[in-house]
Amino acid sequence: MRIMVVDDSSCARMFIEKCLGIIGLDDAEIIVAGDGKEALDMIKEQSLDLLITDLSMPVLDGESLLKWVKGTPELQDLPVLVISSAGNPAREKKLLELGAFAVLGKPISPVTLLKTLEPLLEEKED
Amino acid sequence: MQKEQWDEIMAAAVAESLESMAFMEVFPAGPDAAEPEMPVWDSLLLLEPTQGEFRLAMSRPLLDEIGANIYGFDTEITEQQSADLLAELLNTIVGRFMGGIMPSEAFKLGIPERGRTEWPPIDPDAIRWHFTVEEHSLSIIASGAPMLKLCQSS
Repeated sequence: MRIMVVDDSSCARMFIEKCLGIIGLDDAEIIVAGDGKEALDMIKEQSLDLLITDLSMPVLDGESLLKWVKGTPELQDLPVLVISSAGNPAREKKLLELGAFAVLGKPISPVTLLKTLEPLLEEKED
Repeated sequence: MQKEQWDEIMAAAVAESLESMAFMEVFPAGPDAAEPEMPVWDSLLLLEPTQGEFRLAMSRPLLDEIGANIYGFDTEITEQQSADLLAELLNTIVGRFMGGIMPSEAFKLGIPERGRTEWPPIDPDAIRWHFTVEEHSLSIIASGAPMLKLCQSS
């Protein structure tokens, strides 16, 4: 499985990677980007199974990255998980309408991450 | 919403964030507790739907302990990683706090900024919350008249 983690904080990226390891995705290939623009520059070269992005980032934020991905025909099927510290029901609804696979509030826990990714992982197994 | 509710929401936000991220227990220290001496601190602006500022301050040894819990005890933590950690903690705590006081309204936060100077003077109207973590002190300060108007003193 190839997963891109997009966050301007090295701490947040490491925390997400740790959680992915705990839920059994320690053999996944993790590609990291420090903001949405860097992710877009790299994404074209990658064949990804999942994109995990923070919302508040410099240069290009997570919402803009989500819109970009969902508006690009060759990327629109890529599941995008948004992890946000500024999440609330109104924002979550908007992000889901824009095509996010799921929206999680910070701090994430391995249990929540597993529950969220379960349908995707089952689909991968099938 | 009254001040007591803000206190409860902030205490929960700090506890949930530190327990989930660093497996550390947090204890409220009461309003008269002192801010950490010579703290490392970060600032985060609330941009919408109202305006305010949050600061997170803690002693350097506490930041190092949190870092060791997150990055691993055998990892040499760089200054950049420490800075990222402080910013991430503030972002997470404030996000949870704002989600608690504005559960049905979208809000927008700025990007955390590292305090480059010594601990600056605090607006006398600011709300201060103090906590104890592993015998170290940690403080959160909320200021800005537009945001503080949302909190009615009882």
